[in-house]
Amino acid sequence: MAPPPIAASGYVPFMQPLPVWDYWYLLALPLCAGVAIVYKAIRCRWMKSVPREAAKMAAWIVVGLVGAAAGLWLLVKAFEWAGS
Amino acid sequence: MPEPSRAKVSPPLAALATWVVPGGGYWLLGHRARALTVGITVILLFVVGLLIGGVRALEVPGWDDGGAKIRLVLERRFDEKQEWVRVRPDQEPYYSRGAWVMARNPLSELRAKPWYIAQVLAGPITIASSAASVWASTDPDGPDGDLQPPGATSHGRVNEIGVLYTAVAGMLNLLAMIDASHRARHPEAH
Repeated sequence: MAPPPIAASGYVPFMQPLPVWDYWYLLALPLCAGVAIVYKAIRCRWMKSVPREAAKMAAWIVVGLVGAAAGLWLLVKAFEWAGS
Repeated sequence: MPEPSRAKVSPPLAALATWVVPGGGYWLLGHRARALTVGITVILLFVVGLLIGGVRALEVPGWDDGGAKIRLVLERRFDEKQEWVRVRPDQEPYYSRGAWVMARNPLSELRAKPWYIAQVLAGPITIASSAASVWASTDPDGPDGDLQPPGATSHGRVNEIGVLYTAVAGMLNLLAMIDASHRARHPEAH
C-alpha cells in the first residue's frame, strides 16, 4: 500500500517547511534581533551594554524595514497612477 | 568592565575556532560572555532557518534536488569540440561513468547555488545539515516507486526566509571570525 502523501501525514519539523504562509513578514523580527545581538556583541567593549544597544539597533532595523516597505509601496502606487 | 584577553592565541586559530564552533575564537581568547552570546545567536539563527524552510532549504552543491550526485560526461559537439554535459541518474551506463561535478567543475556548481557560500560559513553545522538535506531529498524507491522523499521542498516566501536566516547566520559568523582574529592579533587594544 502506498504511504500517505507528506502533506496528509502532519507537520514534521525540519522535514517540512513551517506552516506560516500568512505570517511570513513577522519572521523578520527574530532575524533583526539576531543580527543586532551579534553585531553589538562584537562591537561593544562592555558586554553589559549589549542588551540595551542590541534592542535599540533591532528597533532601528525594524523601523528601516517598515520605512523601506512604505516607500516601495508608494513608488508602486505612483507608477500605477501614472500608468492609468 | 571589558573581558580581558588572557590567552595567547594566533589569529588563524581564533578564526578557525570560530568557524568550527561559532564563538569558539572568543572563548579561546577568554571572552566567555561574548563567545556564548555570539555562538548561541548564530546557531539559533541557523537552526530557526532550517525550521522555517525545512532542511531542504539547503541546496547542497554537487547533489541535485532528488538527492543524487550531479555527474558530467564528456560529449563531442557538432563542431568536433568536446564539452562536459550533465547526465541524469536514469541515463545508465553514462551516469555511473560520469565525473562528479564538484571534481570537474566546482565553480559553475557554486555559481548555481551561491547561498551555500554564505551558509557554509556557519561551520560544521552546515555540513551536517547538508547531509540531512541530501538524505531528505532522496527518493527511497526511485522516481517510479510509490514512496516519497522524507523531506518536502519549501517554496515562495517561506523558502526565501529559511535561506535568508541560514545565510545571515553564516555571514554573522564570518564577522565574528574576522573580529576574533583581530582581537587575537591586537590583544592590548581590547
